[in-house]
Amino acid sequence: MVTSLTKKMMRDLVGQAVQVGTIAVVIGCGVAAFVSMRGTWKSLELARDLYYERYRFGDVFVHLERAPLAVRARLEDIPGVALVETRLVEPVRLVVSAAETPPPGQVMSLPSDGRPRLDDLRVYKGRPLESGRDDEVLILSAFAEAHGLALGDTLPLVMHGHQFQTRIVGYADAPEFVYAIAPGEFMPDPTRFGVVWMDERAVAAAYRMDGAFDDVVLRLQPGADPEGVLESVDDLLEPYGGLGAVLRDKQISNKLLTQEMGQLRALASTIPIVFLAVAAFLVQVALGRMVQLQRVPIATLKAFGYTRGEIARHFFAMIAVVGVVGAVMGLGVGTWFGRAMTDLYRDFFALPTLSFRLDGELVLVSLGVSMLAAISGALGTVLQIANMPPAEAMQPPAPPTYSRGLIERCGGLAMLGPAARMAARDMLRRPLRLMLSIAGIAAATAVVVIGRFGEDAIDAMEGVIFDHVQAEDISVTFAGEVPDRAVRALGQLPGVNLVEGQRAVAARFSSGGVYRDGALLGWTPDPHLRRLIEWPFHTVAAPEQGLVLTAELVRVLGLTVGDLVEVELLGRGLPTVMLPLAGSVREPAGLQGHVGNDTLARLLGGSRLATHAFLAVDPQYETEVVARLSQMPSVLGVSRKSAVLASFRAQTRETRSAFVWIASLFGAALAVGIVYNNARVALSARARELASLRVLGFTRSEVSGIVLGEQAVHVLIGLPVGLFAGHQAAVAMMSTVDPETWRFPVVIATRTYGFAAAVVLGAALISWLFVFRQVSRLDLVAVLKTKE
Amino acid sequence: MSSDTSPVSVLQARRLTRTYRMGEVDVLALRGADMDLYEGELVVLLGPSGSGKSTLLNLLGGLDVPTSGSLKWRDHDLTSATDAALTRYRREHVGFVFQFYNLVPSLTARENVALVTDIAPDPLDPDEALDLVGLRSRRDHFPSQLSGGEQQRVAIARAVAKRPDLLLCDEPTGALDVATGRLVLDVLARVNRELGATTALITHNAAIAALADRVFTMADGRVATVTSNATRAKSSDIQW
Repeated sequence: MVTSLTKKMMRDLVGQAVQVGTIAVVIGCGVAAFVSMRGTWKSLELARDLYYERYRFGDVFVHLERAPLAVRARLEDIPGVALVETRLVEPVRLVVSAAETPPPGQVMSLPSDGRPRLDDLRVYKGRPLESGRDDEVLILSAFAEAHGLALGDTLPLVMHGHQFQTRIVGYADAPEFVYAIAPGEFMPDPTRFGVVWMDERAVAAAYRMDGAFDDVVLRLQPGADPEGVLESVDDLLEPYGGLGAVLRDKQISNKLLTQEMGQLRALASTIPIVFLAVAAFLVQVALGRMVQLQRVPIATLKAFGYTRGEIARHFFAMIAVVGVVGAVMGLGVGTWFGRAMTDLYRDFFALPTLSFRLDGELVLVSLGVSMLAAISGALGTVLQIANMPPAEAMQPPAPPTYSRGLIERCGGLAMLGPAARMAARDMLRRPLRLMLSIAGIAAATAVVVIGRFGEDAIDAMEGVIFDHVQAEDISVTFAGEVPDRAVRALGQLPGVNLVEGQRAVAARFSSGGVYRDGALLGWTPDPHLRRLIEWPFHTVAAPEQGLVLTAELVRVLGLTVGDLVEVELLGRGLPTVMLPLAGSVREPAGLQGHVGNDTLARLLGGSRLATHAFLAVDPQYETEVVARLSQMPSVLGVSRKSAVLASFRAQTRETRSAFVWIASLFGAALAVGIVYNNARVALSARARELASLRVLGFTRSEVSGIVLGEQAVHVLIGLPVGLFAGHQAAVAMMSTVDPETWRFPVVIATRTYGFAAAVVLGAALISWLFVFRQVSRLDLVAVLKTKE
Repeated sequence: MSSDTSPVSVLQARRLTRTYRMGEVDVLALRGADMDLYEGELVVLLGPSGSGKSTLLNLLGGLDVPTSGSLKWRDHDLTSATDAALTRYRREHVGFVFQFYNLVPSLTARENVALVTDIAPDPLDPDEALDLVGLRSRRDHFPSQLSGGEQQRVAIARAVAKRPDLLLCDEPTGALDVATGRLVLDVLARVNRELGATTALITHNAAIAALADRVFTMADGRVATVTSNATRAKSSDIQW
């Protein structure tokens, strides 16, 4: 049976629908943020663990030059190693069309006798390779789809300078390619990273690697000492040109996946708390006022014999309804956002079982936290009502006490007229509420800034990389090291205006027991096409003597200019040299060392060679030049900057604009929740005062000005605080990105600050319009004739 | 006012009616009230609850407009004035005193008075207004630091500080004890005398009628009787 008290509750809620609704929306935003981010994170984790488990993702990875198969048994003997998989992984040119050549891909060998013991692959379309066939390939599904390659299609591969005709028999994925990013790239692009799997005998034959392997994946025994294993593996493979073993956390795909998940988890545990804290504050403000208005009904109930407990339960139930409504809205919207986010992640991460899962735990926690937010906001007020003696509750509340505070005694309000003084004293009387309200507005502003700053960071990054670092039109990757004259020969192609070479060698930089792997680049003097850029756009010359390192690498190794750096050039028979540090350069991505090409040639004991070439080409010749380059056996991959840029933009825009929208909506909901409730409560609490002013001859605008002026002060203080907080939050978010991979600049454009301010001001204006309408409707007579 | 010169009528109300919609029923609060007020006089409106006296006072003060009839303040027609016109009328000509004071709690006594002197064309100095009600020494106190009688005297100071042509008081002593109420009436009578504001005072209390030049008795939404007092009593003589 519905009790009278329940009916009263429902009617009170309906009577305050807008106010209650805005609070429920803020709770809902918190729950939605929590459910979508936490749910997506858990879904990613589940899909990742399942995938890694089922397809036996390795623990240790190492690439080397060439080792006989007999070495495999010695790897198995290393203490702590449970399983060893050896294979061939080679650079390959995938000829997808005459007009375009993606950057070099990888061909990976598959055992003829069955499936790999570690890093298995999932064939999800077509069939596995037929044993003994040397003309069949499995292809990375994202690449195949991006290039429209179908089962049964012929795919020419250039392996070790020779072209082979192969046939695609299946689409495959593998746990090591969840985040399929080409080496040296900073955004994944399915069109630009091709992987094919072939029978090991075919790969060995093509690369003259019979009886040898050049890539190892290990599984560790439980409780093994990972660092010890790495050391043993490096020692064992050193004579075979080992490039340095890494653990799973450095494996590029897993590293980037883990990093993204870490960010998501950090957001999932901070953003919802902001919303729920604001909701608790709003409940406290709004309920406090509701109770003031209900003193007489409450006293009457008590006079009838209702107990404290019943009264308290009544109000808690009322608040609980708001919490439940918020939680249900949040669960609905959060599930929707979560699905959308998971879909976006599916574009970046090839996790076969990835789908958004809303589990029972998430639902229970959501309900729990929204209740906690609502009830913690209500606690003080409800206890106060429950303990109020009926006779006191029947009396109008004593006039609020005001006094001159410190600020005023120091002459702080002397310049203000009475109306402004009213507003100022009201704010100073409740400094905590003022601060919480300002904090809430600031949070709303910061949420919008965070939502949008990613765009600025990516724009800045795009500007640096595509306008300053990469000044070329076309970049070429050679199949190996080619002499200088091969680079110069490219300048003879029609339409090529300028060509420059560069040499990259894998290197390990060490100092004081710390080491990092990266690339050592040999630069031509005064390069015009690919440039070494100090962030944001200051061109740095490669040193004639000594070495320039990425600033982050200098920091990690604890170096200062003039120190000697140990540079181990990775590859069989390559030397380890000591080079003086000539300087550092702030680059946006990766860890690199830079020397002059002549220095590098001297170190390696030979003439000037190049691994890459960069070309400036007349636009009308671009297609022809790409086609000519693609036919050269020495060329492994060709990239057009315009295509890369277009793909980069397509990849980043979609994600970003969705994020901006969601963050703006959330920020606006917060701002409306705070401004509307504050103004509404101020209006209700001061109706008598405002009506008196109207009677005294103040106009509507003057009276509205008093309430809204006070709220405007909250907003005007909260806005800059929020812009600053947004900047700080962006810095904090960026600090979760591994600085050795990317160094996203915390660049926040003026238009982002303007946008955030506009969203919050817009939300405030809408709230104020509501309040202004209510001031207009103020019933002067009725207000003044009542006791309160 | 007791004067031999012919009195100047400043306000004329003719057949005023006012209907309120209360929930789903229409309530006829005024059923054709007629009234003239003369310059500088003090009148008392007596009548039981629901007789329409507050409704009439609200119409006279420009807080509301009549449903029908006509209402003129000197040459201003208040019958169908806009909100802006009524606001200006209140701002320039009318002072109000309420039963529940309605002071702004965040402003001191002097600042509450200044609230009016800031917007009136020819106001008293706020301190002068507080002098009139004998509260200059309490001018820096906030409402919560004043007794009920003191709050009401600040309300009167605030009402008269603009030198109103018309001072309207709705049960000004209703919330006060006898001694304090007498003090407040004394202040009202003095203000009427010294500033010459036409003053209308609503009360349940028939004893207060002795203070007035004329007494209007209201019943059933109309002015039932109008009587003139040959002399005005002093507030100290009144007993209730």
